[in-house]
Amino acid sequence: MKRTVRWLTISLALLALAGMCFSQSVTIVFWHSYRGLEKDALEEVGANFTKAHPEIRIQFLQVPFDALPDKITAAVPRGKGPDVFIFGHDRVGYWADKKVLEPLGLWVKKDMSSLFMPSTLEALTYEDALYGLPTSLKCLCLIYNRKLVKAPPKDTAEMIALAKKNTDVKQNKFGLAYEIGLTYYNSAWLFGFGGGIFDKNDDPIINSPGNVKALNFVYDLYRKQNVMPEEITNTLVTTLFNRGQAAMVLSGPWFLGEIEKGVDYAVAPLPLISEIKAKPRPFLTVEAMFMSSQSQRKKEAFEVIKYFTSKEALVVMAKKGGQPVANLQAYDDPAVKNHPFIPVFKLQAETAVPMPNIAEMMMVWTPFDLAIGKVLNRTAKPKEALDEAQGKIAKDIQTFRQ
Amino acid sequence: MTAPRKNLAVPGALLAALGMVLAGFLVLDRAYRLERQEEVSLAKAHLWLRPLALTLEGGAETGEKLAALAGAVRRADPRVLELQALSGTTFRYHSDPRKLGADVDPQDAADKALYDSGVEIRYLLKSERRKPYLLEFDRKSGALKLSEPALKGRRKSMGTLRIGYGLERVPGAMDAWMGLLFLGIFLAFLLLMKRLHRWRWPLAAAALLLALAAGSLLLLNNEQRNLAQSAQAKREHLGRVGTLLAGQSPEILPVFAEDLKGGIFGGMLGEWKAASYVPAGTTDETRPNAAAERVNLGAGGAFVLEPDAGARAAREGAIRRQLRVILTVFGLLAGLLLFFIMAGHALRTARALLTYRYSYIMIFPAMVGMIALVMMPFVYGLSMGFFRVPPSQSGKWVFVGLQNFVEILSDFHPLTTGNFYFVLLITVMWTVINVALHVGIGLVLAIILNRPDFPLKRVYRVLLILPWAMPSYITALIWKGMFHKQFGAINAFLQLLGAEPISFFNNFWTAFFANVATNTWLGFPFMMVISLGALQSIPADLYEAAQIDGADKWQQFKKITMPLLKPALFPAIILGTVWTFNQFNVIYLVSGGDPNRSTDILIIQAYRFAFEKFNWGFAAAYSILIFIILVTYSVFTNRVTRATEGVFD
Repeated sequence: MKRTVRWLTISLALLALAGMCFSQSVTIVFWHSYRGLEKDALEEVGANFTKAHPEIRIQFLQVPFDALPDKITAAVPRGKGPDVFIFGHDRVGYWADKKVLEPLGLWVKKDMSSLFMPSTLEALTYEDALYGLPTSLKCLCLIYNRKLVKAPPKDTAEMIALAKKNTDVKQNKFGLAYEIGLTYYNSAWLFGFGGGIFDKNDDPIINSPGNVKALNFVYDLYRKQNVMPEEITNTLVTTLFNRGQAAMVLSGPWFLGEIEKGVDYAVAPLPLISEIKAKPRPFLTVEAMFMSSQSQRKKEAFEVIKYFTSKEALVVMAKKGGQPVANLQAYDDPAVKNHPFIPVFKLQAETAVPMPNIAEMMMVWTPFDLAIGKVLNRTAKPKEALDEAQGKIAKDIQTFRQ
Repeated sequence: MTAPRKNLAVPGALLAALGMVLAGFLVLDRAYRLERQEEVSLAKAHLWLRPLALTLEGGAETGEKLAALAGAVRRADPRVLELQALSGTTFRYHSDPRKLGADVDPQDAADKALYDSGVEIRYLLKSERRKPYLLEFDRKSGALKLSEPALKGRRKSMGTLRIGYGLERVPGAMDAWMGLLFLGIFLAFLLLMKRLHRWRWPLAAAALLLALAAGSLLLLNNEQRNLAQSAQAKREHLGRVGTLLAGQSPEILPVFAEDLKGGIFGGMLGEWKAASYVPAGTTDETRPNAAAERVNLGAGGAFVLEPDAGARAAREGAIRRQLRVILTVFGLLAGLLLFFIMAGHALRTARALLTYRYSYIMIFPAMVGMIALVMMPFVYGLSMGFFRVPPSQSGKWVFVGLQNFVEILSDFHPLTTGNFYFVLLITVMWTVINVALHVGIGLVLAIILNRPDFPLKRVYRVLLILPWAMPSYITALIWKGMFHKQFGAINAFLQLLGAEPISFFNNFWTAFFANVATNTWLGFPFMMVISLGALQSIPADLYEAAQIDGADKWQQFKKITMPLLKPALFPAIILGTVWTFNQFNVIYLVSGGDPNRSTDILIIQAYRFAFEKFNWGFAAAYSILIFIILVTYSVFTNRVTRATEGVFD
């Protein structure tokens, strides 16, 4: 009995020693909110990374999209967040103010930044400091059902004509469907008509003439042309498109994951605005790798960031995950160059406007959405609705800034 | 038996009260002295750092000048522990010779801290919210770290400088004097009490008041003396700096003096509102006025400082005001303590705790849970209503008293959406209609289900509870889908009947109806269950007796059923009212406030202020108002309904 106990203790001690040897490797905690194909692609990139850097282990944690930014805001200042995470760029300003993000200027060398589209780096820069490296871009494009629309429209007049051909309200068939009640989805028209959200001094210009013209266009599209369903939600758009009851949809790469098999779809750049012969300019959202300011393993975390924004990693994300990637070198790869829709998004992204990353942007969405709602409900004309929204937003921003 | 105890109570009480006041004064004194220490150290550190920044601002070829000046500064003042100047990512100067000219090492905590402070200072410069410098006190090592920018133009930074400076000693402690004063008062009281035992209460009160008055006079006097001393210290230091500069780089003296007066760092020294440099050899006629102070720099000339009398007076006034507030608070607390002990309450409390200690230990875990999970968040939320809280709650909270409440309650334009009274009206209407429907439908169904010979009673009971059992979130979303204009079930049904489809969420009344329909469907099972339970507890022989006496069904209902239902129904109605008043889910998910936020209720407004506008103070004030309304309602209805209880008497 005594002998067994002695052997047991010796073997346990040896095991413990062996365990301690293995714990030499560093673990980087990586949060993301990807599902489905994107998640698989990310994990493959992670496996490739570990092959190239065996001493760094990546621990992925998937957090639901709606919850991720709030969790980061709450956890990182308490030292409990991840080392790196992937998210959209719209909260960069807010997070930089709260010291959640590590400024990457110390780590990123000049030659690295030339790999990315300049507007993506602009989206990630706040107060002259770069806070993230971009992985993928998202912007609106025209997604259409090839059975109903043979060739994509070149301008909005053609788009409306095509939509009218495909609309039969009695049979619940519509030519065009998109979340027309949301500011985000109308951004292409807002900026295309010369409007905007903020001026150079980060003050709101909600009721600028360009915005008024854009809202007139949107109202016309919704109410006068009779090609769109009413009370549009994103579930409605997805369901209609999947059932072949919506010929054209304005949405981004996130929509493609929701399309069912059997729907023959294609992606095209947004049509030219016929009225003023100008290109529509939708919002550009950049998904980027960020480093937490509280990370205890910043050197290894930057290795992870460098790898996940490199050409090899992003080619995998493009091929497997279907992401329009931000690393320009990745587009040399034939699989990416000839991909059915990734180059389209990249093309559209070149004229897209980076969504403002300042914290004040958070005050804009709700009042602007309300203004659009009023215009679409015929409760107000575009100029009045936008004037009211401008008043509300300016007041909210003033309170926010105090 | 009690006589010996009472003799100790009064002196003991006074001792405790005096002790508390003494502790308060000592803490206050220490706080003031620390403030002086920080102020003087900051001024001294800034006076060393600014000339270095000015040198760096001179241009790119200033490396040697910077090094020479920095070296001279470190030699002249042993309190200077470290000096760094960072431009971009390279150290232009570093007191550690190994790092001079090197790049910032992101792994080194100190390097990283300097780089990060550079980022933050650039942000401060741009937003102009406060002065663009960062200050950190490290009490353990007795030093401060000050980071300032080297400016390019007015709002841009071309580099960051940091100085580590040892803190001044903390002079002027008056602990001993205060202690002696209080001891004296206590002893005097003891002596007098022996003779005038009947007057012990007034005597004790007088002793306390005397202690408060004398202590505060002493404190004030001490603080005034400290203020004068710190002004003197700053002046002397300015002289040192000036003399060094006169020897090393006399060309920046005029700029330095200008800098002290205005510009971004104007007012860092507090006491003086203008400063100018007078080179050596010029006559005294440059003196602006008699009150100006002159700091001689030996052969280098002199600084002429104009004291800011307004600032000084304001500061003294501020101290007096603070003292007054603290005195009142402390005085009241000490007085309460005095009364508490002297009247014997303390003894009784101690005795009760001892006798029932087992019970107190038993409820202790629950008390801890209650305090941590209920009381603390409640107090936190309550306090937020009286402050202006920045959008990131970790910034500075500004006390605004009742301003939030006044702003909410004084908005009298009833037609602007978001107006408190309008939303209150909607909420009350919502609550009344819903509770009426819940109780009405629930009661009717309960009466039907209570019939002894009703077929499939059990099946119906289960089916009718289902609306309440399903998660309200899902139900609300399903109902919202049903109200869709083109694809919803309700409009499909209407079209079947030949009517036009209605856009439910475009019109206030139809949107309100949609909300009410959903909430009624969700809420009637609760009332039904309560009523069913109460109905089943009514003994059947009451009805038999009534029937024999010739009462018809309606009279039976009015005279037997209703009075016996009240004890069960009234609490349920109060509960239901409170729940419905705060029913966030249904309205947020079904109509979402449409059209244009008109169907919002109070709790949704509070939510929007908090999570859409990040105006936490306002949202907290809103919630407090909701709380007051509901508490008043509950207390009032409780009183009223209690009068109708006890039917069997």
